[in-house]
This record gives sequence, structure tokens and C-alpha cells, in this order.
Amino acid sequence: MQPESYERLHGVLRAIVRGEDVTPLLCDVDPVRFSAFAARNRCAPLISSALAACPPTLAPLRRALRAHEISCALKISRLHAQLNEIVSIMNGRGVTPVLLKGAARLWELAPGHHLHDSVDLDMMIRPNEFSEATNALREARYFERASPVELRYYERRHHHAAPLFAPDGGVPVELHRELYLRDCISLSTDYDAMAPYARLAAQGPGSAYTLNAAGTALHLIVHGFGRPPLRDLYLLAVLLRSMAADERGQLAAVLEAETKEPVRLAATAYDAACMAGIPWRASSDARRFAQWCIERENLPRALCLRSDCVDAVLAHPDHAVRAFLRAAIGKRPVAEPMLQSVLRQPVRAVLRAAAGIHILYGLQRKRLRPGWIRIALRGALRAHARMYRTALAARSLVRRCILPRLPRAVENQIAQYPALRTFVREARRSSRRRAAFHRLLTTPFITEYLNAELLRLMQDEDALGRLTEYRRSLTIVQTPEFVLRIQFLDDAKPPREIQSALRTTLMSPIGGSIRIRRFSVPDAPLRGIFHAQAALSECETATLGPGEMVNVSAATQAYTVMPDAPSAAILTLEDARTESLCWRFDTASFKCLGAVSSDITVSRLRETLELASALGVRSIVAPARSLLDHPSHFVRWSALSAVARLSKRDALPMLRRATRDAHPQLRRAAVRLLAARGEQWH
Amino acid sequence: MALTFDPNVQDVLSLEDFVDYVDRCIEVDDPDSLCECAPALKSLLNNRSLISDVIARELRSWRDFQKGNAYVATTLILARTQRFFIRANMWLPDRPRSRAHADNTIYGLTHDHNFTFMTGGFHGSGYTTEIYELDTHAVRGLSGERVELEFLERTTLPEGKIMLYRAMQDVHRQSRPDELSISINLVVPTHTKTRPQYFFNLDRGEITHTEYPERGRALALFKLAQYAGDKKTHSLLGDIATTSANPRLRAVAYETLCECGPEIAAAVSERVLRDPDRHVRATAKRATPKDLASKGHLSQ
Repeated sequence: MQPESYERLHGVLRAIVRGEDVTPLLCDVDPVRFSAFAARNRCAPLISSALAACPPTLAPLRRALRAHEISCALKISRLHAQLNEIVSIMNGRGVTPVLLKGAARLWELAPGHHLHDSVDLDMMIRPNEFSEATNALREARYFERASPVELRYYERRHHHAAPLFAPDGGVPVELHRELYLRDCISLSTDYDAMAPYARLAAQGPGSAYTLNAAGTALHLIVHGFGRPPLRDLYLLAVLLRSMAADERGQLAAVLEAETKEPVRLAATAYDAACMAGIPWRASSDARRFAQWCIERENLPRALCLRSDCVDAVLAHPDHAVRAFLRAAIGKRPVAEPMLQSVLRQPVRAVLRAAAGIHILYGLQRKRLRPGWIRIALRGALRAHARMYRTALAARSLVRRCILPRLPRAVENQIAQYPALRTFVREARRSSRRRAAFHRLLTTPFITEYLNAELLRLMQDEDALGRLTEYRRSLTIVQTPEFVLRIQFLDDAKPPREIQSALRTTLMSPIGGSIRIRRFSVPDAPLRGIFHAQAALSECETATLGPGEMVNVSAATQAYTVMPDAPSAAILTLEDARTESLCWRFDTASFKCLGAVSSDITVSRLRETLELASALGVRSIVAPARSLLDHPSHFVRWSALSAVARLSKRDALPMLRRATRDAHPQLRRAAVRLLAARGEQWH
Repeated sequence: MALTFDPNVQDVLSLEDFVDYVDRCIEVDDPDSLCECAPALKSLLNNRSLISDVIARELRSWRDFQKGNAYVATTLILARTQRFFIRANMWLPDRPRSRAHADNTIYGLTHDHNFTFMTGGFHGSGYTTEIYELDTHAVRGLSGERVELEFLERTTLPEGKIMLYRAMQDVHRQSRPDELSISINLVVPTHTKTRPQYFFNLDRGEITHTEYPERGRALALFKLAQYAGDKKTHSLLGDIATTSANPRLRAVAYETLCECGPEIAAAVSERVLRDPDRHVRATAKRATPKDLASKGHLSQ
């Protein structure tokens, strides 16, 4: 934000409204910066038009602004065609809309309408015709992009329905029930309240209402609501100038009846009246607020965006503290997931409160010291980080102190072997696991265990039970924290590929030696992303004999083990936490080949979803939606793909949700798919 | 040969009704009685919402999805009782997406089953299978043992066809189907505890290896004994080799003993070589080194 640009722009618009010469105000501006700033405030075409007969000194500025003017004219042309189409669609269903703001200007071809483009088309609909109007647009292939949560919000709380997007790339259409959020102001702005201001528009090919000057002014005032865009202020100023004195008086009387936000509404009207150069009755609070609106633009951007608390204090001077706190707490963004809000909302509140205190302190001292905001923000961030770390430490402490109870079968099992009991007691705490494993290796536990189990086998053959993986492994004990097992290496052939470690594992050979090669997994797979050029880097090759041990870290390391003899057995102690993905690497080039899921349930879910979509099982749509919460991104994508094959319409909300997925590749795929097919699927 | 049924049944049975019927009315361990449930299985196959209902039900509680299912990713367990279970197998024309738990190993592998099962085509043209018959009484069950496999037929399992595979007799080799197919199996795992599953090499006409998960822990312990056993272990192995009720365990225990405890093996070899089970005798004969056998003989 460039303070001088804002004040200058405000001055330029004031001059245009009043019909004064703008040349003296613009003679020393930087054309590029000023035109860009004017474009951001959507005033560039207007100023360009005002400079139509400018002196040669302002030719560079005029050229810079002219591009925006031409662009605006082109947009207006397209908007006009779209508006005609929409009104015709609605008229075809017997609905006559009340066109608002830009749509009304366009429909009536108001003077200067070609200088103000719109990013949407607003129209108010009679309550009993609302669903008819919405259905008519939907039938014309207009569609909503809002998620179900947002749709609920639009329906229950917002003053207009969810924007309906044009099928062929036009601007969205907003169908209003009221002019502004019903909870925020006491002024009634629904269809019935605005009916006295409506009139049948003379222009245009169809039938539509527009608001008269007073109604439009009221709309601009409530639309600005304490933070009016400069262009709206300009339009309001023009309207106020065009209105008769008694009309302005009536408007002022309507605003004075406001009880919830009298200061903000009055301040907007007062600011526009000042711009228009006409007298306006306003309270000292409203004048103070209008002054603050200009001062606010002089603040650094980080402060300007977090000035809600100051806005609230100045708008409600009678109960400033309550207003300050309510503004600091704020409202949760509708589209934000609840968990994110839980984490972010406190940070936002702290930042808003810190910014508010700082600004109020500065206002009181009549000057702002830029260093303070940094200090306040850093303090707030530090406090948040400290709280987060403390919470993590507390959770970790609780987990360390209170280990979950072992299953009864495990308790009974370890009770038979004193060495195993001691080992389990220590190894359950990860900090002592390595030492416990080392101690276990120095005992004859394995032989004792073997003999006891063989004895048990002799007594009761069924006692040992089934073991599918018996050719490769024998589990000794499994607790919630680790698995102690013996792995058999029967096949002395070199591995066909190198795989990343699924679990952090300590290993030691039994009765023979082994050769182990350890590798570091590259960054991309560590972040869960496949990259064909990502390659392993070799860390170490070691030969281990009985009693020696090595540690392999989950995910960050890959390894291969080869026995020195044709076969070998290894005692392994694996952490219970399993990585969801096993990355595969080529044995020669060490380059990444891809990833496979480590969990058979994940694989089975994927196959089942694939089958369901092939058989056209539409009843899976609802459960598949909940599969978007599955921890595996493979399953989340399979669920989305399956639903997409079954019902494009049902897949669309899932696809939108997938654009916010935690996995970057899934997110990117969803965004690409939505861009390519989103509109077709609707 | 594997028995084929083509019951002309139009009725439709739900999964629950079918399970209830088999549980109450069929002696699943008796092959003749099992054949009687072919019409009921056909009625189950007529239930076109069978798979979709199961999938929707399972996905609704996906956190417990197919808990306890140890088969490959393309198999779904539909119902389970004490005596039998019902499963659905997907037969995919291409390699499945889930590479980690793929069904690749199923195809092209000649094998028998150590359980009887009745299977019916539910969807698609079905897998192709070559069926052979094994004279189970003439086989000792040793890896590398030469066997006679009599070719019976090459057939498919299209929608509606029902077949009964007899435990330890019918040997088959499957190929991928031309299109996505589903079969529904009624599996009776009676013999899984007494006899392993055999895998064959058709070209060489021999058993390549055996799988015996029901006694898997015991087999794994025997393997461990080779690396971590002491005298007591050898003594225990000797006891198992001579006294276990399960001939397979006796055979493998003796085999292990010959590798890691030849003295004890020599001491028990005489008894093992005279074991009443011919599989044990054959294994012992193969495992016992000549010098060890002579020592055992001398000791007597």
C-alpha cells in the first residue's frame, strides 16, 4: 500500500465527482504505479476517461490507464450479453428480478456504465420466486462451486445464495434475498423492504426492476459497511449529488433508524457526501470513523488487514471492550475445516488483538512506531509456538509415563520367560529399546524360547496355532510399541529391488553372519512424492556377526540384507509404527521406481472400490465419501475415482474437497481434473 | 474329476439365508452332502445384489474393513462359520493396482487344495483352468517327488456355472480371464490341519514345494532350531520326530534333526525309518545321510 497513492486517488475521484480539473493532482505521479493502484481500486477506466483531453505531460499516464479502460469496455460488452440472457431465462419462468449495482447500471445503460465493470451480476429475487429462479439458472447449466458446508452457510446465514457460475465462462450470478447480512445490521433490506425503491426498468430486451437513486445509495452504503471500496464511494457520491435534497434527507432518516451499526453506515454516507461536496448531518462518532477509514489506509498492510478490533471500538464507542473482544475472536471462515480452525483461530485472534492494541496505542499517541507491530506479532507467534511445544511435550510425557496395558495373552506369554519379561518392560520405552535389545542378545533367550515352545508343541500341537508367514518369519512377541521376531533369509539371490524401511528396526543375526547395505532415501519420497530421478545414496555396507546389531530408520533409510551362508536367521525388533508407503528403488541405478502400500487393507479397499465402480454399485457413493478421511492417499484417490465413474455429479464435491487434500500429488491431480472436467461434470 | 453342476434354478437366496441353509442342512465334510447345496449356491448366484450389498456394507464401516482376511487383496470374505466360510474372488484381466498385495502368484501355478470347496461364477466369463487329477494315495508329499497328474479338462468358470473341487485330488492351473470376473466359493477347511497344499511343476511332473500354514509356527521353530538349537533342542526334536501325532511334523522334525543334531538323529533314525506313515518314512530315508544311517544301525 502506498499512502500517498490512496490519498491522491481519493482526491482525484473527489475532483471527478465535483467536475473539477484532475490534471494538477496527477502531474507528478508515476504512471505505472499509479495506474496499477487505480486498477486495484477499480477506478482506472474512470480516471482514464476523465483524462480524455489531458495535456501532453499526462500522455504516459493516460496510455497506462487507457489499457484498463479498453479492457473494461470489452468486459462490459460480454457482461451485457450475459445479463440479457439471464433476464430472458428468468422472464421465461415468470420471474422478474430486481437488478442491483452493476447489473442495474448495465441494464439501464446508465451514464458511465462502460467505465465500471463487474465481477458478478447481483439481483434480488422475490422470496416466493427464489427457487424458481435458481432452478431456471441451473437448467441453463449454471452451477454452484460451493462445498456442502458452504452451501449450508449460504442458505442459512448469508444474504444471497451461493454464486451460480456460468457454463461458458461468464461472471457468476448472485441471487439476493437481502442487500446485506441479516445478522449484522438492524436495517431491513429484504425484498419487501426494498420494494418501495424498485421501479420497472425502461431499457433492455426483457422485463426487470432496478432500484431508484435512494435505493441504490442505500445498497452502496450497506455494501460498503465500514470499509467501502473507493469506486463504491465514488458511485455513492455521484448518486448523492444527483439526488434532490429531500431524497437525501429521507436517506439520512433511514440510516438514523439503524441501531446495530449506526456509526459505520453513517460514516460511509458522510465520507461519500464529503467527496460529493454536499452537506451531510453526521454524529461526531461517524465523523471520527470516517476519518479513521482514511487513516487506516496509511497503516502498513499487515496492520491494515488486522484492524477489525479498532474498527469495532470506534464503531461502538459505548461498549468498546466488548466490541474489541468480539472482533478479536472473529468468526471461523466457512470453508475452513474444523481442525484447521481450532489450530488457526487462536493465532488469528491473538494477531488481531495485538494489532488492535498497537493501533489504538498509536492513535492515542497520534503516531505509529513501525517497530511495535513486529514486536507484537513476533511475541504472539512465539507464544503460540511455545504453547504448541508445551502441548506436544505434555502429550509425549503422558504417553511415556502411562503405557497402555498389555493384552492378557502377551502378559501370560512373557511371564514364562524372565529374560523376555525384563526386555519387554524396558523396550516399551523407545529411549531404552536399543539397550534392552543389546542386553537380550547377550542372553541365551532365543534358545530357551525355542526349547520351551518345542516342549509346548509336544504337549499340545494346536497350542501354537496358525502362521501363514512361517517361511519368512516367526513372531516372538508383539506389544503396542514393538514387534520382536525372527526373520529367515532362505534365498541367497540378490534382491530384485531395494525397498525403504517400513519400520524403524534393530537387527542382529543368529548363528551366522549377514551383509547389510544401508541407503539414504532422497527428499521427494520422504515428502511422499514420486520423482523418477530421485535416487538412493549409499550410506554403509557392513558385515554383522552374532551379537552385533544395526539400526535402520523407517522411511529415511532403505536396506538390503544378504546372508553370508545360503541361509540365515535374524532377530529383529521393529517399531510398531509402520510407514504407509514402501518406496521401491532400482538395484543398479538406485533410482526411484514407485511406491506400494504397506497395508493389505489399503490394497483390498482399492480393489473393492475398483470392483464396485466396474459393477456400477451406486450405493457405495455415500461410504466412499467418508473414505476421503482414510489415512492412505491411495484409498482417497481410489474412492474419488470410483465415485467419478459412477456419478460425475456426486464426484464433484469430493473433487473439490480433494483440492484441499493433505497429499500434494492428490491435490494437484484434483485441481487439474476440476479445471479440465469440473464444468462438464456438473 | 472336479464335479460340474448346472442346476436349473431361478430362485434367489440372500447370503444370510444361504449360510443358514448350509449350516443347518448340509454335512459339509461329506462331499455327497455338499453336492446337494449346488442348487442353493445357484440361487445365491442369482442374487445380483449380493456383491454390491456386501461391498456397501463393508465400506460403511471401512475402519474394520475385512478384518481377519489373510488372503490376497482381490479376495473378500463374505461370511464365516465354525465349519465353513464363503468368499468372493475377483479375477482381473490385468495386473491389479495394488502391486504390493497382487494376485500375480495365483496364475500359472499348478496346485491342489487341502480343502474342499464349491465354486460358482457370479460375474464375467471367468478364469480358464486346466484340471488334473492326483492319485493322492500314491503320493508321499515330498518336495521334488515325481507324481502322475492325469489331465482331465480345460474349462472356464462363467456366470452361473458351479464346480466342486475335491480336497487333495483335483489339481489345477489357472489363467487370467478375458474380462473382470467374480466367483463365489463355499470353502470347507477340514483337511487343512492334516495335510499341506502341494504345488507342482507340470513340465517335470513333480512337487515343487508344499505350504502348511496350519502348522506354520511349528515349522518356523524347526527352522530356528538350525540356528539357535542346543542339545536340549535336539532332544526335543528327536521326541517330536518319534512321538508327534502329526506325521508332517514328525517328518520335518527329523529332517531338521539330521541337519543340526546328527547324533540324536542317528539315535532315533531306526524308529523314524520304521514310521507307520509312508511320508515320514520317505522323508526320513531321504534326509538320513548314509553314514548316519549306518551309525543308527550300529547303535542298535
